Amino acid sequence: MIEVLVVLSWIAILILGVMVYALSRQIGVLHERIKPVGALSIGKSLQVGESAPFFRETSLTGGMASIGGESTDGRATLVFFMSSTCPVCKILLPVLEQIGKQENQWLRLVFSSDGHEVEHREVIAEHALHDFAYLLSTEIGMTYQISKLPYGVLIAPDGRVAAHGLINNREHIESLFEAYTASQEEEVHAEQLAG
Amino acid sequence: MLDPVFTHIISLGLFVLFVSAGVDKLKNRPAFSQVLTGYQILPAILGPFAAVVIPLAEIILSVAVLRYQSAFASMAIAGLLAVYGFAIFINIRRGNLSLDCGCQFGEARQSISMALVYRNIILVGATLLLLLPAVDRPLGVYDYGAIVFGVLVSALFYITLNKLIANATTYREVF
Repeated sequence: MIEVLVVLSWIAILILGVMVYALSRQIGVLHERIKPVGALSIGKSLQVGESAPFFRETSLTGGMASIGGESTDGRATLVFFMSSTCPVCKILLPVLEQIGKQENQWLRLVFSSDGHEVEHREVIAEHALHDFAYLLSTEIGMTYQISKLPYGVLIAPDGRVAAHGLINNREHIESLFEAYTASQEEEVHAEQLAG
Repeated sequence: MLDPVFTHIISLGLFVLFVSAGVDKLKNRPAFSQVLTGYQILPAILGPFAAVVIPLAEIILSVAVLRYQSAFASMAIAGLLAVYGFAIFINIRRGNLSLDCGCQFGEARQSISMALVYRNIILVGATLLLLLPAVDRPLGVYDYGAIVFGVLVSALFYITLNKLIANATTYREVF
């Protein structure tokens, strides 16, 4: 009889062990999912609603490209600050490329980074980013005070910062767009009230 | 004096651990070779050579422990575990904290930490228990049940402990 009880307790212990293992795995998965999310919107000098610092630089993909200032084609600009070595940036590049093409009507995508030109040319070739402006300048990142990567700054057509924040996945990019759309609607609403 | 149930649990547990680790290393030879180079203990030239010899030694030694209860093999395994622990310890002392420990090849990389050193000390202790003289008694069905249970529980504890160490390490790095 006592043997039966012992065997039952073995089974119970094994099941508990499996559950503890599953829990510890879950914690690992959570860590993966929520990586530096807590640091959202950390740019100190960037304020939503203020005009974004203006830069005009040569793009690695050819021609000149500007960020900040009033947009000539009426499109908003998403500046994506990245580095050629950060793994999350690489994961996001295909997503950004897709978004950049899909939202082409109202959005201009600009990549901004610094470091060795050769590495960045490789990134451009690998991820087929030829259609987008790609700026290499330490100054831009310094002026915008970008301390964590990848970081996104969405600039409205009138040259004001519409939204900004740390980007770790597609949802973060979309949250920038949502903040932008919400502010646009508010503006329209305010104009209607005034008019 | 050690009950044969314990010696069987330990030797079977070591067998499962080292055969799976050895096979994993053989399957991921280039990755393992890179990990070895990262530790900066062996001369780089020996890397590809050691990447074959070490896993083969792990498999052969664990078979010898399980099949022949070889005291020499137990000591050699304890030695291997101690060397791994020492290699991690040295690199922590060197400040080489972001070194990939090579604990999991296919999955995410994991940095070295003191917890891994303590883990290896426990494993060395368990292995050395095999050198104690064992009680000579016949094993019954119940004993075999206890052995199977013991191995399963130790394996579960081992993988859970590793997972928790990995979690704590990534937490330290990311947050």
